[in-house]
Amino acid sequence: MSFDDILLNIISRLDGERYKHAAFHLMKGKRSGQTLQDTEYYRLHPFFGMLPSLHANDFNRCYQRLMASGLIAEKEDGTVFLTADGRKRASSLGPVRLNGWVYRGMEQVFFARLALTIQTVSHVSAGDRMFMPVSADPAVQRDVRNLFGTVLRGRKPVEIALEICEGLESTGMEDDRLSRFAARLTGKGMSGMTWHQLSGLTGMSEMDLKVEWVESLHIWLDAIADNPTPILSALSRGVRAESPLTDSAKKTDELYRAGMGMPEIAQRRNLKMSTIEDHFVEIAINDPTFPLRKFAAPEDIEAVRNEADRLATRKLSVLKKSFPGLSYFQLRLILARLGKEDGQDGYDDPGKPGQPAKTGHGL
Amino acid sequence: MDMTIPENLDSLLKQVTGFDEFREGQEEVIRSVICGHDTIAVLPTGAGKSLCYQLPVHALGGTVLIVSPLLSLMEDQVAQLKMKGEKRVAALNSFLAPKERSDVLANLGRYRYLFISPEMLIQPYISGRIKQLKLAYIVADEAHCISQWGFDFRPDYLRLREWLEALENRPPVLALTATASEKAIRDIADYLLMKQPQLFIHPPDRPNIAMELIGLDGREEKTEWILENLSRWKGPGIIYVQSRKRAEELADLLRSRQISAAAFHAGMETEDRILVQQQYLNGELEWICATNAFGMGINKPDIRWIIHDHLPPSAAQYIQEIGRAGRDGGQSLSTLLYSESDADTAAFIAMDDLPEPETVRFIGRCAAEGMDIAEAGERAGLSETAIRVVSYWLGRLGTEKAASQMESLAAGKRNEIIAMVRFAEGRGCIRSRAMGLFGYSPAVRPAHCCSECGLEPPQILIARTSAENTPGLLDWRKRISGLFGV
Ligand SMILES: [Zn+2]
Repeated sequence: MSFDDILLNIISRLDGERYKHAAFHLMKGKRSGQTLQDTEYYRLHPFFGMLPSLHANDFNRCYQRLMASGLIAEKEDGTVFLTADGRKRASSLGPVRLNGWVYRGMEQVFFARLALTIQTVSHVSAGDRMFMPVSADPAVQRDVRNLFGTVLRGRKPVEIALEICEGLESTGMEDDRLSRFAARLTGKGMSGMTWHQLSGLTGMSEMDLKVEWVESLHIWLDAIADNPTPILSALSRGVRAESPLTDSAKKTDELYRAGMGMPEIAQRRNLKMSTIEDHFVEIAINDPTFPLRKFAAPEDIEAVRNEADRLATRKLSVLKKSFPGLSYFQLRLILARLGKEDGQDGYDDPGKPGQPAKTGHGL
Repeated sequence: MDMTIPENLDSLLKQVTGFDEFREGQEEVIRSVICGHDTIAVLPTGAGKSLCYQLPVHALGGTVLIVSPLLSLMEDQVAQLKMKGEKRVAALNSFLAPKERSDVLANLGRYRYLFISPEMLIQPYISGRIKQLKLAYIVADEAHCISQWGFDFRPDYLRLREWLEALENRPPVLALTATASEKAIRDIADYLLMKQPQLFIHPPDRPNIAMELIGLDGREEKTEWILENLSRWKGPGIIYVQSRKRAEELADLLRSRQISAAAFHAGMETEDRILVQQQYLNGELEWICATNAFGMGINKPDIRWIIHDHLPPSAAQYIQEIGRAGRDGGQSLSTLLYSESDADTAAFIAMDDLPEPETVRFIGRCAAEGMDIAEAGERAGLSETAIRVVSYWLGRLGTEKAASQMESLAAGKRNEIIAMVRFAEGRGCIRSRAMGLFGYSPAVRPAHCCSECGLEPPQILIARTSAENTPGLLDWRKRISGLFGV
């Protein structure tokens, strides 16, 4: 799926209630209360953190393209929505096979380990022990060193090549796509291509290539998780987020569970109260046992839910007008548990906008 | 001690590196360090500077602390030592994950070579730990960065002085640099609290690099010149440009003429930058169009041609960049394309990083009101480097003196640019005049000296015979088999 189509897909889910920044922060995987909340409300998990180093210029160019081609438009207040053409286009799109919420940029660590492993085998088997590593990240270098002491010990190059090829084969990705993927790999006398070079060679834009690459990694990592093989499992160790909470929210959660109040946590962690509130919203989103009633009266919770349904909105500013007596924080907590009151939790599979699919079909 | 060491040095060299002979300039420096003298060594790029700090510790024992202000360079040196099989090497810098950092700190006494960035060194905990080590000597690498007159002055580096001041028993200090003017050498000795340092200066003259100066009228003419000449003669080479945009423009134009070229600048992803370096080292790429972000850690011996598409803002930067050619000793060429408007652009870019005195006063006022200096700097629209510079001088001199310090820094930079303009517009042997910028004169006049003494490109360059074929996209199975050699 192209970068433009991804953004169109995201905007279709945002449903005319958010500004363009919401989509930008989402793709970058910003760990703020607002972005996490948006991800949850609008079922944007596939796209969360899909491009951690996305540049604002690239994003804006894409946004302007969609505007200029009449697929999206902005309301007077600046919120963005799909035009009729945009809706038509969005419903014709294939399934998204991104899985950003689970990998959160860590797929790049998997790729870096893979690339360094291949480079190392390539050079060493050619009798060359001195080369400039393709990953300058000391953590990646250490991981790969460990692999050569464990799972890769005594393996012949042909065995490693076979496991990688069979793994890629099993994902069902088409050959051209896999060739673009493999073009980024480096070995003895054979350097990987930059995005710019690959773009010149294939005619695809650099952004589209990057998006495709991230999606390919997610597809492959999902396949490895389903059918683990020794080397690929070792290469992908630790890339799946174990807890849906960010590390910082996790610490707040632990202190809260240990019986501390919010001001005490803020003081102890030397964080602003607003940050602690963000953490609580994040916890409320993810924890089915979150004691919402400690933060708002049951009748208020009920009233906010009804009003949100009646107005078909999740906009804080709108709800705040109806409930001036409740704080923004209370409203956010109530919204965080919206749609989960009957023990419904978890989120849908990445699928078409508006109609969750079980899994994406082959490409 | 002086009497016994000379005999041992050759065998020490053999034992540690396997080489039989020192390269010119190395032995004196190493001996001086082993004898415990504070030492300043100015060795041209490619003269084997690193051996000067790597060898003495094998005679002395203990740990060498190498303070290096340029992170990419530090990573590079660590990687090279590791490639040579040295296991007792570590680096402490802001790249490290907390876990790795604590690993290094837990094993601190174990290392023979400990690389550290200046900002890490002054952290109280780390500083305390390092003071407990048995330090054989301290190395200030890229020491020209310590001089406020240099083109890559790093204020953080100046904090090394404070750190040294606080040491009770200061081990000898070795300052290493590729280029330094007299003024910079005085700064180095002063800032590093050196006591009667031994000075070893090897002029940055590289007789195997012919020097060419070509006056052209503006950017279009330069583009034409580059395209015409690169179509006739082969690299590998580097074109140093002033902006990312220019780097990309030239690389695209060259590619459209079937000359393999790529841009290299700080705006690219790290992975892509590494790939470009790999391709270049491998000979898969012939030309790199680069901003000065390129070349720092590159060790490609057969670079034949360095072209400057613009006037470098200082003699030090110019000499350092052309010094990347011909490290294998083979005949090479450096070409400076100059047009009159270059001086203004160079000045604009050099000053861009330097805050105005008014800005310093503004930040001083903000700081007095309790605002964070970094935040005030951001408000004033300063770059990160500029914020570092201001923060350093504000803390040391107070607002007024810091503001006038900016004025003298700007004057210093302007003088360097004026010197380069005079150089580019002057007549007479280019080599003599380039060395003159550092207060030296060339020892010999090589056969292919410079365009003023007379140059024949066919005698220096290799003609391009056929166009390069750009390979297509390889099938993924074939590529993976090829990578694994199966
Ligand atoms: Zn000459």
